Amino acid sequence: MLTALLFACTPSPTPTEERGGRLPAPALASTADPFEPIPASLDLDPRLVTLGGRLFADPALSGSGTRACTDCHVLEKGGIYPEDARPSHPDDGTGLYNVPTVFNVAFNFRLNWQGGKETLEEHFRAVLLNPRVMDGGSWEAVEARLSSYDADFVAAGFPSGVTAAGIEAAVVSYERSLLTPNAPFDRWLRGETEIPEPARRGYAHFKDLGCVSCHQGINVGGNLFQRFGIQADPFADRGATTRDHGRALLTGLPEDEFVFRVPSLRNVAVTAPYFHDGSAPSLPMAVREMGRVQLGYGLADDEVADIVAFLESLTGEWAGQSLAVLAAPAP
Amino acid sequence: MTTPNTLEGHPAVRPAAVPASPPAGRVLAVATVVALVGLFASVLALLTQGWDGAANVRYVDAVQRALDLDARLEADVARARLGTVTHFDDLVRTQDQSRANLGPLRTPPAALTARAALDVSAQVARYDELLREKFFHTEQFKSELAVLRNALRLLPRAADDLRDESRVHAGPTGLTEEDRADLSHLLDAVLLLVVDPSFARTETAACALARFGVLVPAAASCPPPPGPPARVGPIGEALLRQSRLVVHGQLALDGRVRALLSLPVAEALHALQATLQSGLYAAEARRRGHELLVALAACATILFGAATIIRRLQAQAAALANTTRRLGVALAELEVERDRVYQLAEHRSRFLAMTSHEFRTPLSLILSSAELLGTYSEGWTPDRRRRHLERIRDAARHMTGMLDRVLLLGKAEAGMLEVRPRRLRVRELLEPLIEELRASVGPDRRLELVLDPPDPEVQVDDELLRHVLLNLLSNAFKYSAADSLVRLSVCASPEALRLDVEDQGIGIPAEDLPKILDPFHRASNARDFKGTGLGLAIVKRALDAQGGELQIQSEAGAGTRVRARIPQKREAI
Repeated sequence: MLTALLFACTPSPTPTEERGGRLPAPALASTADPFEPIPASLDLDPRLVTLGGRLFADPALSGSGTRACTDCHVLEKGGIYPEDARPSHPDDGTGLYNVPTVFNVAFNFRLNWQGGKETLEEHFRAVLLNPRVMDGGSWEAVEARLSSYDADFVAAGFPSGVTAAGIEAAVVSYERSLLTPNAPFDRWLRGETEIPEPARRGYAHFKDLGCVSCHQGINVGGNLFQRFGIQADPFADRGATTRDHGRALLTGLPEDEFVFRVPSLRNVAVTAPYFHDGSAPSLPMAVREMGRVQLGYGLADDEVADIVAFLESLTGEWAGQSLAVLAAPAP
Repeated sequence: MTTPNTLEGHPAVRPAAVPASPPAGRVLAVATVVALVGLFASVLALLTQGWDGAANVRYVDAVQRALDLDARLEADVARARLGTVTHFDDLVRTQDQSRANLGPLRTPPAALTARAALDVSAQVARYDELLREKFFHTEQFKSELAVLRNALRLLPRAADDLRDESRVHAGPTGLTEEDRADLSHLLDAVLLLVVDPSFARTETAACALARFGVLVPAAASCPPPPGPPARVGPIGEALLRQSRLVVHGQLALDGRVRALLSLPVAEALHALQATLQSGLYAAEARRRGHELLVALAACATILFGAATIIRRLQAQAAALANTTRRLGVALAELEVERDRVYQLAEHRSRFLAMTSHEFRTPLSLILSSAELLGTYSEGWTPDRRRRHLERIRDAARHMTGMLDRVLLLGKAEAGMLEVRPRRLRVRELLEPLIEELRASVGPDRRLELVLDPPDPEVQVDDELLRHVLLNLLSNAFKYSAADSLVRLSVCASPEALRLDVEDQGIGIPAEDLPKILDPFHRASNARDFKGTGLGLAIVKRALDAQGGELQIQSEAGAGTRVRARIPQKREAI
């Protein structure tokens, strides 16, 4: 009887439909388009986001005290490392990988090219303590270097000041806040605007040719693994190196040979160079190569141009400004 | 006053009235209460510790949710396989939620026993393991599905190219007829497989591929190729590649879906549910047992407390009743004593009033006669002088008689009345007494004397008997009309001497009868008659002193009959 009462008194659990997922609820009613627009923001603690933003730009996170997250994820340049020379990330004997953008990482189902990290927390811990990346040393050392943040952490809801959990929560909250909503394509999806005719044609090609088989969902990619080189061998010219084996380096499975996490094409126009090895310096080159090795097509120039126009419509806004404008090289 | 002495001496007011509990009983009671409280507290602790109904519900819900999510994942996969969804976000969402749901599942409800919790943990671990496997297959499924989709997209194009090639490059520069026929056959087999993915079609397509040296897993039982693989040129290569991707993809994908769907995730969750249910049921039963224990302990505590209180109250009530009863007795005694004291005080005041009045009258008579005699007796006749001297003598005699009676009464009240019985004849006593009576009431009053036997001999105190008869008879004469008859009956038996005095006088009102024997009390209808109110009191005392009795029957206006009875003592005694 008592137990029955207890059960009766328990409030019915709130619908957990939207909890525990990294993706927001679908915004579009139609399933005709394989994409969803990026939401304006996520439900995050603003105190943690602000604090995480400061940590993200603070070289005190690194063991040397000279390297900040923003050194490799230059937000104004699309959240990537924009130079030709790439930093050692992660140079763990597999060779260098192109730095993926930090924008919209909240929606990626895995992180890194090999997809070895399932959550941003896991990724942050690995990068922070990796001697070849941030070389943070130990959590104690990181906490000690960030001791000046004590009051800020207390204000952000961590009564004992700087802690590993607090640092992680703050940085990851900030990373999740790095969204680029209002791309022309998203606004077109929502019926708010038109996109240029070439972009529309490019969207049609994108779907007809089969790009959309992998690059779909809210992040136009970022939600599955795929082999690089289905129809042709991309490494035929130079020979595959260790890093090119991709996910197989992690799992040891033959079916994971040359398999990578399919990257998001959001903001792809401002995040050159392309591919895991940065081997494609320009978007048309990348599109042409994808057509060749993944789809088995030799794309015509006008097809490439249309697809590039479509991809350019995927560039969103950050801090109220289009990344296309922000990342444009200074005249 | 003697009241304080009486109270103090009474057992009812002794402080020992409420009995004290024996020390051994008290120790036992305290020990019992402590033990009960201890039992109560420990069972309560058992109850509250580790029982969180909401947490149990949450856990059961989480298991159900895992089941729901598993079903949804399978449905998502099936939809994707059919091509009715355009992206994998739903699948990713379902996987994320399943993974997040694992968190709460990792902490079994605290209500379970350690063993049950261990079982649940093991089953959750099993579920986790299966889920990972399912997710692995899901990831592979997504990749393979994308590849197959694109291969199917490309296959018609490769078929077109082959047809165009055969049209354009007919002749020695192109493919051989045989190779073209083989490629056509391959194309047909693959297309049929796409439309009808049966095992036979798979085998046919696999063997058609094997003809070109492209081996897929289903080609194991194909006949060996007749010769080395033909060189089919770029167009043939493209067709072979798409065919291989389709056949391989179809095979792999169907195998993948089968593997994915056959993973016993739901079974593991059902087993978990069963373990959880029985564990929680057992916990519930234990809890009910504990609740029962608590209730019993509470009841026992309450009963014990109530019994103790009731016993104590009963003891106190009994002691109180005892005290009250004793106090009642003491009070009654006090009242008697008080009445006696009041009576004495009343007697005293009446005595003072009476003496002041009764003595003043004869004294003033004596004084006036003495003064008259002293001043005028020279000229008085001897007769007149004698009259005054007689007045003085009568008044002095009256005072003497009154003093006698007061003294007699005082003696009686003080219990100092001496009884000196002697044997005498009644007539011997009666004759001088009647003479004396005639002298005071007048010679013409009528007295009827009845003696039975005619001259009995009795054993009495003659002085006391004289007082009795004199008073009774003078009252009878005093309160009756002059011409009325007064009767005195004397009846002597060996047991008692009985004297009855009857008159036809004014009688005694009923309300005065109870107090008529009190000294100085006079009946309400006797105010017009001279008297002291001592007569009957003296009679009563005189009879009491000899162990006698007095009965008065009277009716106002009709007369009075007084009976005195004096027991006779045997010679022998």
